[in-house]
Amino acid sequence: MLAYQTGDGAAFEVLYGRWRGRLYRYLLHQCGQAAWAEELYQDVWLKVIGAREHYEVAAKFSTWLFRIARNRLIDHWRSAGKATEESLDGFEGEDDELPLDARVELAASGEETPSRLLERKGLAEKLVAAVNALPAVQREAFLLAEEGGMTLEEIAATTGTGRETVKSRLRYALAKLRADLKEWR
Amino acid sequence: MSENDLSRELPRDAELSALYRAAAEALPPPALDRSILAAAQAAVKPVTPAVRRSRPWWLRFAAPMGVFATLILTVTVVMLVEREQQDLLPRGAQGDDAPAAASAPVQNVEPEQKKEKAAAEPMPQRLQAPAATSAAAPEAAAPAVAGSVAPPPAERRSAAGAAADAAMSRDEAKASAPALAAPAPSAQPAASSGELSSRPAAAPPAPLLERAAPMSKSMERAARGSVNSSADQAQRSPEAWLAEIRRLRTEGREAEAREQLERFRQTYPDFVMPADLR
Repeated sequence: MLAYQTGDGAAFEVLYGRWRGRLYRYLLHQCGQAAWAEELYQDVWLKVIGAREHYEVAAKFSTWLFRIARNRLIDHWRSAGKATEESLDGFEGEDDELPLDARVELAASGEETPSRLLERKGLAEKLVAAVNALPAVQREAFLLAEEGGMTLEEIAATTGTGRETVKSRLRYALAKLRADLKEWR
Repeated sequence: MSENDLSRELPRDAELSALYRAAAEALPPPALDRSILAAAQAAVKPVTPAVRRSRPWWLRFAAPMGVFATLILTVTVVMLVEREQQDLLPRGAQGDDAPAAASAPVQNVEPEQKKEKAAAEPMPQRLQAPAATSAAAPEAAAPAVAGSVAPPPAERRSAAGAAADAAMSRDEAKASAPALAAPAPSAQPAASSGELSSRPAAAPPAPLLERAAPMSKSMERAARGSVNSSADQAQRSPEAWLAEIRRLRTEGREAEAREQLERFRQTYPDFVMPADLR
């Protein structure tokens, strides 16, 4: 980003190629519709381009990029009349209350037979559907961890919440995903 | 993933992550990629780093600042010129008023002195008194002249110098004129009465007379015309004026002498006239 800030257009292409899929999927899973995701995706990148002159290295580029995306998402939800913070409906609690029995023991793929690959593909599609069905804050934590490659602290900084809160949200998200996938095994 | 990992570090499930990665195939449309990349290139093309470095932000305001500075300079010069003109105009106006203002204190101070000394002193000495006081009285009696526009001492001196120069040029013109070749006798009594030191303009030195000889006719007419102007009369000292009147009488120009005498009386109503002019 610093190279692009000094006028190196090729540096932006490298940066864009590295984060285009991750950012797009984050937005797609968060808003749920491809048309909205594309609009938001374009807005986010245009904001990045417009903010290049004032860019300062205060955090990782991914943290900065996903913070822009999150703010744009919040604007989108506000304009759409959707609550930005959905209630967790009892999913958020103490760590001791985590339903560990809901963990899914996904079988390791020892032999990649065609039937096994087909099964895994079907399972992946079910996982994506389960991700989209997560509560918003859990989905956000999960996507920032998976697509943004962020640590707990980075997710906490991006979402403006505490580290332990992020940790709890992630645990509940994983537990729910495992539970959803267990039915399809 | 162990229980400890779940409690200490980022909660993660390797199998879930792998499965998610396998499913995460969604990508933005190529058209969107192109438009974003085009926007990024367009953003860096117009302003190259070299241009940005060589053109600081304040240079963008160079043209308006230049216009503003020119405007300020123009207004300042115009104001200075106007102020200079205003300074010159009052000085020119004061040149006419200064002798009258300077003589006014003399008129205020003189009556008491004159009433006491008029009978006892001889005429030349009485004539000398206004001349002596006319130089010193303005500073002493200036506060007594209410509403007068008397200039500061330096300006008064310059005004007096201008009056002296005017009188000098007038005398030079007269000395150069053939018909007016006899002003010397009128100057001699003044010199003999000891007024020469207090009236340097009344008796021009000989080199000035010699320099005035080649004066043109037009300048002579201008000089002669200025004799009758009220401004010059006001600039003259009473003694010089009386000497001029005597000279006119000596030359047989009685009408002019009477006219000058009448003006003198109007200008200096309290002045004790010499016996030969009463």
